[in-house]
Amino acid sequence: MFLLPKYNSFFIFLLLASVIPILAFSISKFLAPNNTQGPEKLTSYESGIEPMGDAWIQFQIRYYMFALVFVIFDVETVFLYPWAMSFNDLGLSAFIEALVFVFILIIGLVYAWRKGALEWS
Amino acid sequence: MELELDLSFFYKTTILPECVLIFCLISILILDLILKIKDKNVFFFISLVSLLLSIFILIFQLKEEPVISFLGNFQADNFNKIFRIFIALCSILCIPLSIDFIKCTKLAITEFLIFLLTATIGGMFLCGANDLITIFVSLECLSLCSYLLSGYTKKDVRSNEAVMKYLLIGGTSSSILAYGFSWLYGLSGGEFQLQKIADGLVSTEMYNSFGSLLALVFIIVGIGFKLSLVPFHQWTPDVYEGSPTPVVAFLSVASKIAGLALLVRLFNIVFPFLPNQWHSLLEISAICSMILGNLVAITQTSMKRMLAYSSISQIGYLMIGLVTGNFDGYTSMIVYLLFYIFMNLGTFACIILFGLRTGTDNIRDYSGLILKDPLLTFSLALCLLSLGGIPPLSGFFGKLYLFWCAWKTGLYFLVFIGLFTSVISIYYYLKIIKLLITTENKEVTSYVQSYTVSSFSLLSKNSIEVSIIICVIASIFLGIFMNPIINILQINLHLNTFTNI
Amino acid sequence: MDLVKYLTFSMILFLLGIWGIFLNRKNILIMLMSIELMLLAVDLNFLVFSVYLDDMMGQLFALFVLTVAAAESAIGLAILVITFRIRGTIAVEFINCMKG
Repeated sequence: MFLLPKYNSFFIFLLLASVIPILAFSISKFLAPNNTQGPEKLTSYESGIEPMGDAWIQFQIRYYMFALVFVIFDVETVFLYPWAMSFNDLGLSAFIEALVFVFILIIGLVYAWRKGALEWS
Repeated sequence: MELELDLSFFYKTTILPECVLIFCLISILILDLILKIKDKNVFFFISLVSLLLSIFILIFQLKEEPVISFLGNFQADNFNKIFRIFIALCSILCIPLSIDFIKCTKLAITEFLIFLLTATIGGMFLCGANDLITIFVSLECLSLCSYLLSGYTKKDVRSNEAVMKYLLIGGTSSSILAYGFSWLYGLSGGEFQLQKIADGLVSTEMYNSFGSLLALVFIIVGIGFKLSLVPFHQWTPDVYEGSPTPVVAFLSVASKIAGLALLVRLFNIVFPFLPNQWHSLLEISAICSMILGNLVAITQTSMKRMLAYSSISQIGYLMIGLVTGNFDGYTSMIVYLLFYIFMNLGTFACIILFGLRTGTDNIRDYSGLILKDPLLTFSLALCLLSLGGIPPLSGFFGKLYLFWCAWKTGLYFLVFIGLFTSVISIYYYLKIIKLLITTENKEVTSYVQSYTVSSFSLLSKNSIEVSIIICVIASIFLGIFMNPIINILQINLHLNTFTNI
Repeated sequence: MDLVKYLTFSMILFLLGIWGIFLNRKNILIMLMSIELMLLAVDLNFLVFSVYLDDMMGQLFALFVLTVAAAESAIGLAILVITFRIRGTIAVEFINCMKG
């Protein structure tokens, strides 16, 4: 079903993209000396400076608020994309319907704004 | 694929009742954002008026011919319109119940109304939905708002636990339902509308295959979770106990009405060639619901849990009408559904009033209530007796008609189970009533002692009492006017295709 | 036949989701992820049928299922945040204050 000739370039791309990281890691493993296994080696790498605290920290709960708002508005735009692709065929009534859709989304955004979901404080 | 989008503006009158509600919803949201209105009662007024308006529009539309609009996505015939009227009626009766509850618990009013109205809109669209996408999206619209409503008192641990269970079980059930839909779509050769799916299943000769049976089972399981039929009922008592009581009142009627409408239409239109399979599956679950719901309800100590099991048994009684499967069966199911709305909402209204004034919902704490408030005791007793089916009340006439229709079609076993479990249910309802009016050991509980009755002037009646009075009057006297109701329903229903079997 | 392989694959995914909900009761996040997995299996089923039958509507349904799944997981995350605030943990084994 999916074994069509037009997917050939995609499969070549997939192959190349998976080979490159494997190559990079194996080269570094091959070149690196493996006789120094001190405690410094096991600490997490924080761009050269001394690492502060644990790598497993609890995220601020505000990130969740932004994530929630983002997820909703991100997925709703999926419906605008097919409409935009066939804009010329559908005509005026579909344009009005899309406007109504966007209007309702904007009301949701304004609601989130007024209730303080977008404040960072 | 032909797109006739220009025509869609002519079909707007078929969803005019929903459009009124959507307009009301958006205007409430905008008014709340722009104006800083201190007196939130305006919003209640707006939503009640718009719900009444949509009911009136639906009643006037009952005379119109059945029409399929929006490229076949929405069907408006009299069967759907009656169910849509019922859902709007539930919403009208539930909004007064929630006003005082929200004021006492100091929650946000606007969001509660918005969730309630959105759930109503979802349920109304679900009753008329005619293709798989519309069914799925409107079902999710109803159930997502139900989750949000049942977790509305978010500081409460029990409410939080209830909404977590409800979300997990509801999400599972809707994905099971969607999986069944995907099989229907594939087996019918890429059809989406209900009637065309049935035709497609016949033309691809898949109607008797293993795949269509699989789809049938998945769809029954998915809807069974929503309706809390017996093998899939485990979430019901927990959700009913934890959620805020006005929300439980809404969920116990509105989601059942919408689910029943979906079940009847989906099975009659899509699976007319597998009648024995789905009738026998539903019959088994109806018998289990009646037996298990009534038996477990006896042992409960919390009023809300007791009502949860009672509602499980009531959905079993409603299933009898569906299993009967002819014109009389559907009429009796709709009549009993109408009575059930009033009886159940009346009971819940009494519990909300008692709970607001004392803060408890334990059955034990109701003892000796008659000394403090005879009126509330009287209405609670009448609603419970009507639910049980004591003769002069309307619940009796509803059950009688339901059993009589099933008896005529030869479902003797089902009727025997129904009669037997009705007797059990009368036992536990009478136990509560005995507790209410017993005054022999003069010591009333501390909860009842702290119960304060508001003044008895007619002007200062609060909204819950208005709702109680409406429900009690309806659940006493509607049974007497049973014949006119049946006549009206039969006149309106005879245009339908699948009820004329 | 090619179709049977894809349908089997999506059915395995779906059963994994059910298994994750009913048997693995340890973490609410994992249960939410299982619901997402089930909905994605439904999506896959629709897409397979849609490509096989050469019909657009299945892909449309898949879009709607995706949106609904996003809304549902957003609500689930919001409830999770509230649970963490009032309890301090999200382990399922401590959620049992209602019995009967």
